[in-house]
Amino acid sequence: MTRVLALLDGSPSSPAVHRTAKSLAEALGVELDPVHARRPDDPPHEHPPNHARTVIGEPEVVLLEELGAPDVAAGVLGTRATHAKAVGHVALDIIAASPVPLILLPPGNSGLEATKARLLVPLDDSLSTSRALRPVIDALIAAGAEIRIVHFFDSDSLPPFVATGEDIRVLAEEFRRSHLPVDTVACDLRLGNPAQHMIDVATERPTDALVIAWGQDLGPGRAAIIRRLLSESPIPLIVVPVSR
Amino acid sequence: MDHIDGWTLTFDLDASNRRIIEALTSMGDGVFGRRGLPLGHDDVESGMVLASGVFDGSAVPELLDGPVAARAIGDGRVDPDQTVTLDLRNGLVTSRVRIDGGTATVEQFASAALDGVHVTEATGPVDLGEAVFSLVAPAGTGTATSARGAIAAASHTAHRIDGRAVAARVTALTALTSLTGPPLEQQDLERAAVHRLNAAMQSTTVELRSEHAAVWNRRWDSMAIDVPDRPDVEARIRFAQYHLLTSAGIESEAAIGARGATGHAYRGHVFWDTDVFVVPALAAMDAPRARSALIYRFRRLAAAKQRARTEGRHGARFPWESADSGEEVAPTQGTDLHGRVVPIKTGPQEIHIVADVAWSAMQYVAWTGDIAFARGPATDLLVETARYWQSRVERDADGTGHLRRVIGPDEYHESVADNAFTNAMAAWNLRAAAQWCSAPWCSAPMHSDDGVIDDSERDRWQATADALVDGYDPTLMRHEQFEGYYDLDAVLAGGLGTPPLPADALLGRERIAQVQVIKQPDVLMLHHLLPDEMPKRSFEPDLDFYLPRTAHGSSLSPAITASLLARTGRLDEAVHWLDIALRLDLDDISHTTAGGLHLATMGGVWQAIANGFLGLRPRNGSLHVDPRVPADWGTITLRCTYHGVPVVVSASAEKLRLIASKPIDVTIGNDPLMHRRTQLVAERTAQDWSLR
Repeated sequence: MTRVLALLDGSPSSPAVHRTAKSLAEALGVELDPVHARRPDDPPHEHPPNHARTVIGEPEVVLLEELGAPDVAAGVLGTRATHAKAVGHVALDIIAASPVPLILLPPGNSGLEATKARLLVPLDDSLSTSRALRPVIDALIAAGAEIRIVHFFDSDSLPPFVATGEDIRVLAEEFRRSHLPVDTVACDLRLGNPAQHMIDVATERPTDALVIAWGQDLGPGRAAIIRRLLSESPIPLIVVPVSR
Repeated sequence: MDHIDGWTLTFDLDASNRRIIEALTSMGDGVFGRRGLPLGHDDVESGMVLASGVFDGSAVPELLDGPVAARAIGDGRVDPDQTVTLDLRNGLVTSRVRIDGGTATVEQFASAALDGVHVTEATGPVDLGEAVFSLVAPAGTGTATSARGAIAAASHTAHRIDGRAVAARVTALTALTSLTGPPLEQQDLERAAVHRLNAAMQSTTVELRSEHAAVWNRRWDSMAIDVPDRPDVEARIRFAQYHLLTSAGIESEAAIGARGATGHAYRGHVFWDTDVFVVPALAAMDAPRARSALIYRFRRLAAAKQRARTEGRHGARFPWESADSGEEVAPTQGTDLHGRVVPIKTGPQEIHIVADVAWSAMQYVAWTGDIAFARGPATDLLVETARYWQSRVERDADGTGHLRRVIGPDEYHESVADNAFTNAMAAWNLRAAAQWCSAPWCSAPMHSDDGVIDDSERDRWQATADALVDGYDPTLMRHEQFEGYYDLDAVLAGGLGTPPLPADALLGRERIAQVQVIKQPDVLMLHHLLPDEMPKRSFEPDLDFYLPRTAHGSSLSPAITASLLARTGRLDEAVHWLDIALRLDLDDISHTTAGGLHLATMGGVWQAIANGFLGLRPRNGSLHVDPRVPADWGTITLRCTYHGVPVVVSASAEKLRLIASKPIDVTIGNDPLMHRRTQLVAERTAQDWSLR
């Protein structure tokens, strides 16, 4: 892996996208590669944003091709127009099919500094999910990021012998050791619906981004958490594809 | 778990259960605990060595991680899917692994014959050669230290190709030593480990294994519980006995943490789990280990007295959570499942621990008849705890005595007044001390920091015990758990789901305080610990009232519930709760087994079989037995030691046989008549047992 792609569309978020990608590339010790997609019918930009390399074609198609290159480590892009609630369809298509992790910046966000990032990682109870996330987490920790994981129980999944206080600390510690056995990682447990409460948890303590593993299935009834975060999260998301 | 019979448990290891099996196959020698090692999964925890009572330097002390010792490890060539067998009869953990296209075997044990000696040996076909050697990581001598103690390890690894057996073999011996307190003697500690290692190296591995297995076989001969018609139940019970026995040593003191030395959960702190759940089982199975656990308390009597003085009281106030110093180490705050910081009040309020310690000491004396301990440590523990209650009880103008601002075993309700369990245990403590100090060995005045015990002090204890309210209503024939409990919303546990369930986490801290749902037996715990002190005919009314209100949100709850239900003959329900207790770790019901095994549940399992299904307990100077055995279980046989005499009790639904190697005093069922016998056979009648 030798490149981080900054996917630039010339929107107001482009400088933050570029800044974030640059920070990540430096932290990982790889090359920054700014890319701008132009539809064949569109006139060429006289000055592509941030001196980006221009690729021609339907943006979601050509940018996914770029992200699929074997030397690409990650990509960074903006997800919404300013004041928009909905994620743009190009961004959505890319998010749903990117083979590499993406950092998604909401509008107005000034970008993520990878070496100082305080990251919240929601995990379900699947070891395959946490295992898939592990290389990304390790790379982020190596880059200097601070990691906090959170797991949401519901009333059915909460183990029976857990009382408020020390039992929760023990359970959290076991969850951390099972899923992300890195001493510097902290773990919080919560009761409730993650789609409803994730942003609350993210705002309890200073948090710069959320890191989410997902199966890239945006079909009906799927990916409720991702959908909600994409439209409401005030902080960037780092989405990591895991095999469905 | 993938296969189980009377003496062996076999686990198919995969990535998802690795840490759980590490805990389940922990090897202990009573002082040092070493987690079982799934091969090919090297990480920091694998090979973790802990020593009971040796803590790190944290503000809230945690068990110190020992040095890396020689250990089974493997590398990327090892197939991560492997089989691990725990042979309870011989105390062996055996892994069968596939490596380089062949199969190798790794056997490990913590020697039961040589203190602090742990053995790891890998064998395989000669053509695997180096691959077999790679299964054991060598190590030299090392020490882990903290301001509170140290653990030293000395290891030796030998590689051999055995021409005759055509086997490649690598053997690692590790000798462990530890100390508590500032590690000023670190070099001596390492030297002691090397000395211990050299002594072990005088024997071959075959000899070490043979001696180790012989010790385990002797242990089982005097403590095994048999349920031959239910080999699955039998193996799970023995699994509990196996880990109970390895949790405590017989020399010096044993600081048995809630998870022993099998993991870091609860930091190795000592709770009432040890006094009330573990010690009675050990007292009957292998008394010196129970004594060590009590000596741990006895040696912290000075700290407990200091705390009482600091609080402006007399006697000894033991901490709810105890580590090395005997000071309170319970956390003062935690987090709830909504991210809110909540106060934890167990340290200042769960004072029943004071009476629990005294009760434990007297249970030990009742099982063992250990006169030296009775006249020494037990008397001091009983007297100083009584003095604490004497100074802690508040007397109202009407003369009644009260204990306010307390937490009972039901930890869902905090800062309550007159918790029936706390008050009744305190009253028992005061009465027991008054009675004890009237015994011949206390005829000479006892001196202590608080003065001489004389008749007037004994009278005051008795009067205070008599004054303490206990919430009992003779009309209802049941106890109110604490003042105002009946005024709470009459929510039943079943209304929240199917117990066991974590009711306070589900309802929230504020709401749980407003309802009658309780965490675990509280009033009912009195019927378990003090069955002869409770008002006649109050057991079943209390059981009928409190059981539906019990969420069983504590891992301590299922086994005690099984015991209580068995005593009343509600055997289907008793078996249901026993099954949960038996599977609590083996099926990781709590999701925290990987952090260490629930020793109190294991002690509770023994108590459920002994006290519950067999109705076996010391009572007024005799061994009382009153079995209620499920018909489809066939016969339960329990071996124990009573007053130094090996005893075997076998019972079915219809028949009872007791054999003692010397005459002992026995009472059966409802008959108060004491029989001094070596052998006794009885048959079940409609109402009771009839001697044949």
